[in-house]
Amino acid sequence: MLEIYILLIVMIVGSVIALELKDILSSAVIIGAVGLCSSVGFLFLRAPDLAMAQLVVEVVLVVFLVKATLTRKNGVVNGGKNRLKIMVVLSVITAFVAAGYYIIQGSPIFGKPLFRISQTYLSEQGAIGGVTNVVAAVMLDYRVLDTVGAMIVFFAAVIGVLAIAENSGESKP
Amino acid sequence: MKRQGKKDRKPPEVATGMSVIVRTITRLTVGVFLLYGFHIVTQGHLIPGGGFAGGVIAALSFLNIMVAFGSDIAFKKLTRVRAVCAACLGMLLVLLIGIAGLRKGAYFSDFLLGRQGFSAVCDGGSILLYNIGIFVLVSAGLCAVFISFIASRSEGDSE
Repeated sequence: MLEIYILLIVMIVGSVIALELKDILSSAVIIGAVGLCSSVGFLFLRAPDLAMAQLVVEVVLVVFLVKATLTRKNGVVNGGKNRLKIMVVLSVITAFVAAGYYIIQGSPIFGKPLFRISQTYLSEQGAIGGVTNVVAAVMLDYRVLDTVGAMIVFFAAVIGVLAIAENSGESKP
Repeated sequence: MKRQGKKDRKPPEVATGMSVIVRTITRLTVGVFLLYGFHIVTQGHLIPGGGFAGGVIAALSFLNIMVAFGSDIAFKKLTRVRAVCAACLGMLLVLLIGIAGLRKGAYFSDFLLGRQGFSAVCDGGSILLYNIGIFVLVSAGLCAVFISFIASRSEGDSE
């Protein structure tokens, strides 16, 4: 578990740096580094499917998207710092960390889940044969309605983004 | 391409693209990106990956063209209407595959069971078909989002 802790520390430091930088492109690159750390962490936790999706989306897509859509006007952020805002954020973070610590103490040990239903999937997986990627078998065979729902959400998000972008273009004088 | 003066290039790298080095490397590597995306999709039931990762990689290859060659050349290949139509096609494909097995009592589940053994790629049954549908939906949808973002960006620059 030492690797996970090192990666988490690097991710926290990177996130703080990304928050403090004024240039959005540099922030996006740092966020890409954070995403790379979380992708390597997923590899250590034996989830290569998730690691690949994380790598593709957060490392490459975010940087490319910011690079492609950045204009000179909105490239630099200069927001003022409010003391009350900082106090509220700090208290919320403290409460969240305390609650998380309390919950983690009572949760089952990592790698030994309470639900036994995954064992059924894994044993039935042998009967299907030919499908060596168990994650794909679960996502697109047993739980395919969930995946179709996720794709419907993605489709609705794309249509919504297009509608908003077109409307904002038309309303300009 | 000669490097233009600072006053001449009005929207920075939106319509014109980047330098000749980037263009050459992009011309060489974009096909490899796309091929890797197809590989991840078609082998999604055998190796880590799947429709979503492959679709994002395919959309990234288009975004690579857009960044390197400029939006004018990229928009000639793929317009917003075509991208939206392809996304709708992918969504329809996913839903149609879901209800295709209705006569066999396999509503949104694998209706091609028992047809394995043809080849390793076809062993996935309907998993391969779902992956292809998700690939079309994700790649075309992300391309449509890129195109609308870039279009709104160039409108903002021209003001």
